[in-house]
Amino acid sequence: MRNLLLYPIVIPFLAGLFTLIVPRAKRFKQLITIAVCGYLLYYGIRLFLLPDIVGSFFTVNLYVFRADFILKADHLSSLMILFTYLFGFLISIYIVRSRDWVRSGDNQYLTYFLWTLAGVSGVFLSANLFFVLVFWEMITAIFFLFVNLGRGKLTAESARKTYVILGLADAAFLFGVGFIWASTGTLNIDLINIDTTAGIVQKIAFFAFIAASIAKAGALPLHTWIPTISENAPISVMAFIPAALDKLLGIYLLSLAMLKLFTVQPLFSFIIMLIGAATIIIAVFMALIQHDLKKLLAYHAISQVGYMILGIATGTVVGVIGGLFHMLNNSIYKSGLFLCAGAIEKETGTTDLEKLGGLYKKMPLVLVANVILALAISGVPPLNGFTSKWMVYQGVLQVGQPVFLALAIFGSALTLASFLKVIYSVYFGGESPAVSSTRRPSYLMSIPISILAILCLIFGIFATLPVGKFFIPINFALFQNVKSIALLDNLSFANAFWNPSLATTAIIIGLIIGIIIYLVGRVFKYREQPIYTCGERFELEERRFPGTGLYLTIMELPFIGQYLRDRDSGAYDGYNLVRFIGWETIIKKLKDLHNGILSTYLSWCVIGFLIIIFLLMSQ
Amino acid sequence: MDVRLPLFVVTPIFGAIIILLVGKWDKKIFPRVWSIITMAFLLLLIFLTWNKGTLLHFMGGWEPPYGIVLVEDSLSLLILLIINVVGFLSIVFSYSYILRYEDYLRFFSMFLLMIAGMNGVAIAGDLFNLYVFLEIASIASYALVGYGVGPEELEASFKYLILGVLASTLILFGIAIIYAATGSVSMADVARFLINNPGNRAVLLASGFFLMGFSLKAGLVPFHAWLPDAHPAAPAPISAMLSGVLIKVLGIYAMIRVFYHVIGITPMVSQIFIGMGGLSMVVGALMGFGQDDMKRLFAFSSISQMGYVMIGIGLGTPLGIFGALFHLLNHAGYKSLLFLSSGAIERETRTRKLSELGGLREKMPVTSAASVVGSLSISGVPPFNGFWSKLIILLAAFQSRNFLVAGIVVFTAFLTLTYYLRFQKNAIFGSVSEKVKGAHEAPIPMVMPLVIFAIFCLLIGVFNHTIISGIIIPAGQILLDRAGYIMSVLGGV
Repeated sequence: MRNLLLYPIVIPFLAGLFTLIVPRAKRFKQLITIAVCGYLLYYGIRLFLLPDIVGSFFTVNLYVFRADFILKADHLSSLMILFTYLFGFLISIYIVRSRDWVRSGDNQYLTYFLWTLAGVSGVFLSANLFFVLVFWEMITAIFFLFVNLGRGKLTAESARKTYVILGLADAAFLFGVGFIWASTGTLNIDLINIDTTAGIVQKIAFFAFIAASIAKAGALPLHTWIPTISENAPISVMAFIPAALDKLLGIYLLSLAMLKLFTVQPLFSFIIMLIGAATIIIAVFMALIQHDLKKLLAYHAISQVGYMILGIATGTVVGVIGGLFHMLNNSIYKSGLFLCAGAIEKETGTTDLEKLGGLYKKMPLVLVANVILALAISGVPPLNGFTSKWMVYQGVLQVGQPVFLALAIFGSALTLASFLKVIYSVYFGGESPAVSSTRRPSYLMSIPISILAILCLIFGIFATLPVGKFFIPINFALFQNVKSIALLDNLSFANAFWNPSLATTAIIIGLIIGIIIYLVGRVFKYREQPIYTCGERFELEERRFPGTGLYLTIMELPFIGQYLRDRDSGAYDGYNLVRFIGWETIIKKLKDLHNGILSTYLSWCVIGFLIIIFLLMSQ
Repeated sequence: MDVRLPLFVVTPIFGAIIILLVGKWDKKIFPRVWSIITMAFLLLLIFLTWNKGTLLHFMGGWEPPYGIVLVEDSLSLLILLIINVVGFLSIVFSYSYILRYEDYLRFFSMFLLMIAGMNGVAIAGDLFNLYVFLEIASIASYALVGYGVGPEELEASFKYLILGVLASTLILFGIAIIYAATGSVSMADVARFLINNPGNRAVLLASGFFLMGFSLKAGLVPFHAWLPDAHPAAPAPISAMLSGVLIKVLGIYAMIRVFYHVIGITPMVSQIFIGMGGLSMVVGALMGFGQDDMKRLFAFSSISQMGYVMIGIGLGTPLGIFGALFHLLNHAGYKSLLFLSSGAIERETRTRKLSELGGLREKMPVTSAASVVGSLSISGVPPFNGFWSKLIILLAAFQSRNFLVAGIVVFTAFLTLTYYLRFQKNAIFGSVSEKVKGAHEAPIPMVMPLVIFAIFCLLIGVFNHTIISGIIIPAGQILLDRAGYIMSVLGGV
C-alpha cells in the first residue's frame, strides 16, 4: 500500500532512463512511452479512488537539518496526479505523429517527457516542503533541456529570458523554504502556519512564494517568458508544460501558500486579487492584437491564470473551488488548443494567421474540436469554462469586490472576441495558398484533441459531477485559512445558483431554431457571377479576407492603444527594464574596473588591506 | 610517529627530479607515465592513512614545540583528498592534452612540484613550513601559468607573480610578527601561548597580514584581480588545478587553519570573512555575465563560489562550517570538470569564445554531457552535489538569523544559474557553428577524467549523507575544536 506512492515517481523515471540508454529504435520507445503513460493513467485513477495514503520513506539528514521524505496522497494531490497523467497519456499519443521530436533529431525527447512526469508527481505527492522544492527545481532543469530541443530558431535571448524569470522564481522559492525552516524548525506542510503580520521577513517570505507560483503559472508581472518561449519551443512541449502542467504546479503552490502555509492579511489578499484581475484584462488585450497563433494562445494562457488567482485569493470555499476547477478546465482546453495549433502547424507549416484560412474542408474534426475548446475558454455556457468562471465570480462577489468582477467578465467577453478571430482566420475566410496542399491530420493527432474537447463538454454539461467528485471531498479543514461556508452537495451555493442541465436544454433548443433558420435560408437559390471590368474578366489574385486585422482598431484608441503598442514592443517587460536600465550599467562599470593594468590591481589590494587593518585595529 | 606522512611531499618532489633526469633520454612517454604513477601512489597513500585519526610525524625525531611536525587530521585528509584526486585526473587528462605543447619535461616536473607544495601545506604543523610549501606551490604555479609563453600567458603570469609575491611577503611578515610575539612558529604551541596570554595587539596586525595574504591566494574580492587573467592563460589541466585546488589549499585552507586553530577567531574576523565572501559572490557572479571567453567565465565563477565558502566559514556555526567544507569539495569536482572540458573543447575547435561556439552536443556528445552535468551542479540543481552544499550554507545563514546574507546567497545562486545557462545555450546547445563543424570527440585520456568527475558530481549529490557524515563532519569538528588540536599535537608536553 505504502509503496504505491512511489510508483508515479519511480516508474516514469526508470522508463525515461530506459529510453535514454536504448539508442535508435524509435517506434519501440514510443510504444514503451505510451504503455507507461497508459499504465500511469490507470494507476492515477486507482490512486484517486483509494482513501488517503501516507508513507514515510527516508530522511535527508544534513547535521541539524532534517527533512523526511514523506509522500502523501490526499484527495487534492491524487486529483492533480490523475490529471497530470491524463495529459501525459494524451500527449504521448499525440507526439507519435507530431514532427517535434523527429526534428529534435535524437532520443532525448521522450526521456525528458517522462522525467517531467516523474518530477511533477513528486511535487504533488511530497508532504514536505523541502522535497517539493527539490522536485520543483528538477522540473525547471528538465524544462531547460526540453526547450533546447527546438532547433535553430530559438534565439539565445528568449531562452535566457525564460530561465532568468524561472530561475529568479526558483531562487525566491528557495529563500521562502529556508525562511520557513529557520522560523518553524519543520518543513512538514501540515505543521506550518506563519502569520504575515508578524514581521517584515515574514512578508518577504510570503511574496517569495507568491512570486515562485505566479512565475510558474505565468501571471503578471512575471509572465513575459511564455509568449517569448512560445515562438520557439516545440509546440507539443508548449501544450504539455506551460499550458497544462505549469498551471497545475503554479496554482498548487499558490493555493498552498495562500491557504495553508501563511495566514494572509486582507491587504495581501487584495493585492493578489488585483494581480489576478490585471492579468486577465491586460493579457487578453495583448492576445487581441496578435497575429501568430502560438503567441496568441500563449497570451490566453496568461489571461486564464488570472481567474484562478482571483478565485483562490478570495479565500472563500466557492472561490477556491472555482479557482481550482478553472485550473483543471484551463489545462484541458488550453492544451487542447495548443495541440490544435500543433496539428495546423504540422500540416500547413505555419501558425501565422495571415497565411492561414479555409481549413474547414481539410480538417473538419479538428475544426469541431477547436470550436468547442474555443467556446470553453471563452466561458460560453454550458461548457466547463463557464462553470468555473461562474464560481470564481461568486467568490469575488462574496468578498465584495465588484470591480474585479466587472474586469473578469469583460476579459471573458474579449476572450470570445479573440477566438472568433482565430476560428474565422484559420478555418474560414477563403482558402489561402499556403493550405492548398494540406492533408488531413493523422487520427493519432486528432483523437487526443477530440478527447479533450469531449472532456470540456462533459465537465460543462454535467458540472455537478466533477465538482461533487473532485472538489467537494477536499478536506478544507486542512486549509486553515479558508472561510468556511456551509456547503451543499450540488452547485447551489449561497447565492450562486446555476443549473447546467436546464441551461443546456435551453441552448440546444436555441441551436435547433438557428439551424431551422439556416435551412430556410438555403431554400432560396443564388448564383455566382464573374466580375468584368471594361469587357475584361477581372481576377482577384487572392479572394479572401483574413481576420488578422479584426481588432487592430483598438491599437488606435487613446491611452490603451499606446499602452498596448509599447507593451507589445516589450517596454513594460520587467526583464527588459531591469536589464537595460540598471543591469548593463552595473556590469559595464565592473568590467571597466577590470582594466588589466597591474597598478590598478595593486591599488585595490592596498586599499583592501588598509580597510582590513583599520577594521581589525578599531575594535 | 607515522613515517608515511613525509612521503606526501617527498614522492612528488622525487618524481619531479626523476622526470628531469631521465628526460634526457626519453622526452615523450616517460614524463607522462611517471607522473601518473606518482599521483597513483599518492592516492594509495591517502587510502592507507584513511580515517586513522590524527597522525603525527616529528621530523628527525625532534618533538614539538622545537622540531618540525607534520600533522594529518581529518581536515588535512579532506584537503589531501581534493588535491590528489583532482591532481591525478588532471595528469591523466594531460596525457593527451600536452601533445599540443613541446616541452613535456618542465610541465610535468612543475606540476608534481606544485602537488608537493600543496600536500605540504595540507600537512604542515608549523607556520614557517606552511609558508615554505606555499611558496613552492606558488612559484610552480607562476611558471605553469606562463607555460604557453605567448604574450597573453606571460602577461598573466607576470601579474600573478607580482600580486602573489606581495601576498607571500605579507604572510611572511605575519609569521615574523607571530614569532616575535610568541617565540614559536609551531601552530599548536603558538595557539597555546595565545590562549594563555590574550590581548596582544601585535597579533591583530599579524592577522591583518594573514587576511590579506591568504585572501589574495584564495582570489577573494578585492584581491582577486590576478585570477581571471591567470586561469584562462594557463593550460586547461593547470586551470583545473588552480581553480579546483590551489586557491582552496593556499587560500581557504591555510586561512581557516591559521584563524581557527592558531590565532583564534574573533567576531570582527568573522564579519570580515562574511563581508569579503558576500562581495566576492556578487562581484564574481556579475562579472560572469558578459564574458565571452568561457575560461574567463569559469574563473569569475570560481571567485563567486569561494565567496560561498567564506560565508559558511564566517558564519562560524557548525552548520556553516560543514556547508563550507562540503562546498569546497564539491567545487573542486565540478570546477575542475568544467575547466577540463573547456580544454577539450578548445583543443577540438581552437576557440574559447562562446560567440564562436554552438551545437557541441552533436559533435562532442560525451564532453558536452559532462559539462552539462558540471553546469547543473554549479548552478545548484538537485540532485547534483552543488545543490546540497549551497543549501546547507543557506540554511546556516537562516539559522543564525542573517537574512541579508541568506538573500545574497539565494540571489547569487540565481545569477550563477543564469550565466551557466548562457554558457550551455551558447556552447553546448543551439545550431552547429562554423568552428565546431570539424570537431570530434576528444581522445579517451581526456574524456575519461570528465566522465569520472561527472559521476562524482552525481554520486556525491545522491549520497550526500554518507559524504557529509563520513568526511565533512569529522573535518569540521576538527576545525571547531581548537583545544583538541593543541592537545593532539602537543600531547602532554
